[in-house]
Amino acid sequence: MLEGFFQPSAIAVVGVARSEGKVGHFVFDNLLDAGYPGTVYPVNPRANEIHGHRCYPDIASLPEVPELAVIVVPAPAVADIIDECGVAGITSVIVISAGFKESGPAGGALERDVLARASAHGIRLLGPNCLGLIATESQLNASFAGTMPPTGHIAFMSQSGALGTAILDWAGSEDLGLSHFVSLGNRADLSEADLLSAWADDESVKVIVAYLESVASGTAFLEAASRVTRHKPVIALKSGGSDAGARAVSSHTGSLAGSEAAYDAAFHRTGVMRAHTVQELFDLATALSRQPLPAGQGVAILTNAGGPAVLATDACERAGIALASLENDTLERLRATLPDAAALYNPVDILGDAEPERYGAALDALYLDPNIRAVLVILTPQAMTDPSSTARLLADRVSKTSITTIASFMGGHSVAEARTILRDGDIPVYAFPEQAVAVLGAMGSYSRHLERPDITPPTFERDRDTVARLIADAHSKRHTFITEESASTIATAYGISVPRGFVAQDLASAHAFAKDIGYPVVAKISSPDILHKSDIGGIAVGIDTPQELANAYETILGKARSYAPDAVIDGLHIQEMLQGKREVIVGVNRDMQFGPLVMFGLGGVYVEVLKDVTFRLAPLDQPEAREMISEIRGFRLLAGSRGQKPADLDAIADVLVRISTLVSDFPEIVELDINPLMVGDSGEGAIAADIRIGIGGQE
Amino acid sequence: MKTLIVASTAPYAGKSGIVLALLELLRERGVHAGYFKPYGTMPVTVDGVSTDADAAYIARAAHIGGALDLICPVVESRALIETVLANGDSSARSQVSSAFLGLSEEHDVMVVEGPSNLGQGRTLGLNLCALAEEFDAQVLLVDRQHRVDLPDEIIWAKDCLGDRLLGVVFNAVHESMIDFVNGSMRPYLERCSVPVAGVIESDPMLSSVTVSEIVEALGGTVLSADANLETRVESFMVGAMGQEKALRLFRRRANKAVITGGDRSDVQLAALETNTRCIILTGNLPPASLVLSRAEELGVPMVLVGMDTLSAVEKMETLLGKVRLHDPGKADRIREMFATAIDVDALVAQAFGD
Repeated sequence: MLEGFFQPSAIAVVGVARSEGKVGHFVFDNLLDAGYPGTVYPVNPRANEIHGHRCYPDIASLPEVPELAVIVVPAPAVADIIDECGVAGITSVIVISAGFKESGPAGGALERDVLARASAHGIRLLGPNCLGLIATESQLNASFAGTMPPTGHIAFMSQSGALGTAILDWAGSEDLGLSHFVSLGNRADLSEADLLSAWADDESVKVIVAYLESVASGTAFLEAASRVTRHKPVIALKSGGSDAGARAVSSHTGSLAGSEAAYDAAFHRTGVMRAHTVQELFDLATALSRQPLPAGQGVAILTNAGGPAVLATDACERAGIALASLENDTLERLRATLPDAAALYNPVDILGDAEPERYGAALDALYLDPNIRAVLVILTPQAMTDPSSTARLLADRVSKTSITTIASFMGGHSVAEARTILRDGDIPVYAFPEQAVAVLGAMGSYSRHLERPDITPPTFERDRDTVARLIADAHSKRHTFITEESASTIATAYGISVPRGFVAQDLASAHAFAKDIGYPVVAKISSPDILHKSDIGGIAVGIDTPQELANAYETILGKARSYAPDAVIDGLHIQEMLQGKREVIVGVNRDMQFGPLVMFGLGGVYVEVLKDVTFRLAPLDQPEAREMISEIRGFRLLAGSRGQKPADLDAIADVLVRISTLVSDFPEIVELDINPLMVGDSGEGAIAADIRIGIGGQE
Repeated sequence: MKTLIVASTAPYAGKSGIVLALLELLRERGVHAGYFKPYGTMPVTVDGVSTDADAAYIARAAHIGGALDLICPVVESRALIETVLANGDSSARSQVSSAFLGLSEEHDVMVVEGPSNLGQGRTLGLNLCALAEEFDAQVLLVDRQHRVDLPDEIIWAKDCLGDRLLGVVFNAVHESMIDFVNGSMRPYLERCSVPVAGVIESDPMLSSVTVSEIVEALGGTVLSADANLETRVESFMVGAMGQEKALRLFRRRANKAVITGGDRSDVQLAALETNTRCIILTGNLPPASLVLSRAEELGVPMVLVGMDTLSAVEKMETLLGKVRLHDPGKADRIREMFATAIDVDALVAQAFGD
């Protein structure tokens, strides 16, 4: 895919300026300087030749049809050039020119025109308003970035061109090899999803990294990323997570930064690793491009210094990385070669006077241990240390093993050469052990993602027709929320238990309903305009007698009236009083990009104050729902602590699955809350005591 | 000559809209109806004549002939109040009598826009019950049912009007009150011999304003989508929250205007992603070009205003606070709803038949 962009037979550069210092001139020079083997045709009607290359007045007069055109003319002239390209049969076009939607409505109109014409000709288009692209293996630099990075296996796409140039420059100085660099620009046509798909099939790409401020299409991203991560790792640095950052993203890209929880859930679902800093992005990328993934849990730390090993151990525990217990055979082997003062148990401290051979012997022993799937080698420069020779020895050992090995050679000048040797030997090396541990953590979670089967939402009996009818009914009445009665019916239609209840429009029917249900009952205000019933005193629980019910009737209606004089009151919801033991909440909010985002947490103070909640994208299956439940900090309260019986976790998971199916079946549902879901002991089930379904405002 | 007074139990019940609808429906049926409003409370000067704003509009819209000072002979004014309070009397009642006499001679039937509640005009002798006697008229009473309550005003009107009370129209009734009105109120009133002529549901379109009305009221500059200034706005929201919350709240409201600062690109985009008819940018801060492009693409006008958010909110509240009848689209809608909810032929026969 996209070979026309990355391995074009010949290239036309439209808008090559005669004078140096112009973007068009840079692009042309960069193409020539990078050593691109095919022909590059400059196109400019006002020039005869540029650098001794014959210049052509238009696309039609070129001696052959190039596969790729790079357009650098002013924005208003681009659409006509697209037509010329289309007529000539060019199928891949990069529009570097700015002056499109980023410049205002007039530019926005130009961009739509350009895209429409490109689509009509079947042209794929990168940009506009981008830096261009680089493909190192093809010796192609179709960009105005000055630096051609070293050849490597990391493909990098960036929604910020400027960040791209900085990283290209840095990659050169760090000897970080890239296979591709693509500046996405305004993403009128090609977006991150297209590049993910293209790079999935490209043998030269081992790792894909992306700097994103938003995604162009959530569904395309989910689809492409899920597929790609099965073959190669994808790491994303997604910015705009803070409120102020989100605002900056909105002005920078003209798109919403989106919800952090939704992006985290999307990355979790697709197996995309998320970096939070540029440093982390490339720490991880270099590791994944150089070392195999650990084949399971179990890390050994090998060190010549105690302090750094303790730091690394702490970091491992924080990241949930298990240190391996060493086998007796391993301990024997270590004891046989190491000085008596050495610490044999993991971390293995081979002491400050460790010479290269001691590293080698210890490493040999560790590699033989079946509990060890990854080794972190720490070196600090001490009097007897020979960093370069140690690095050479490590490179030799690592080339003969399949066990993941990464290094932290701490220090400055004295380890600089050693670091280069390690890099050349495909051993990722970091200045500090915490960086290395973070990398191991991410590699571990990616391995686990690969082991996890795809989500298979269960099929269960459900009454879609009833739900469709109730939603249509609410739409026709321009309701923003489904009435509570209908919401209960919808829950029942999807096999979720709800308490018995009726909405009474007068006291006489309230009495009748309560008698029918049987005391004690709960009375709640039923109003589409009052969303937080308990906040206004709109709920009375444990009503035992008709007199108490009459009192509650007056009190609740009175409070509702004074709190919200304009609120529409449907009546009083009389409900069976549940004797549940625990309250949890299940929520859904439809994310603009990724669709329904399901939330789970403990009820009450846990969600409001502690924000102890977890998110997943719908649909869910039972294992994914169980994983969600176990992720919250308060999980032990559900699992049974201090002699309490465990909650019915299967019932909670079942509700999560059913709700996720409901919101997947009905895109009209934009928000949903079950608060609380009353959960009994294991085997006793769960009942949705209060359910609220929002379908948004209708025209 | 038969006369029907359309009066209401409280102001803003939608009396004027119903009068206009009725006049048009009579005209459709070939009835030569006159329009009379004894006492106007919205003084305005038209062609040098002091009259009532609604009366002037209705007369024009319903193609009613006759001088405005006959159609609405008494208009509330400072001078009128001072005269009445000083002298204990005024010529109001006699002015009304003679104007009505003059107009009724020229028409087959008369539709009189009566007082806004039972007491209005009492000091001048122009209250509902007095007028009904004077004109030997029947009365159609317009009532709004905002909340569950007892029909005191209606029963009181029945006490003084007796058989002259032709019926009650419940107007602008929210859907959630329909069951109460039909199930509890109607049977009770019918037991009290007060017929319910019809129940008209509320319609947010009637209290909407167009984007161009907003632009005018706020003194704004349109930055995008100026072809869409006639779209209707039914409500407004203020955007000062983060993007996620904005998105969630904005989704809940359709056909709205969003008021926010020009520097809040995130809120503006969230508004554009939901059902928003216009974005009002306060503090004279122009938006980011990319956001403006998006608004243009989606056809949503962005309106730049100099005032701060609080002032813009106050203006919008006034603008959306009540139904502004002076809009042909709305008058048509009211007539349509009236004709659907009420058996017009039966009403005409009862009010004006022999």
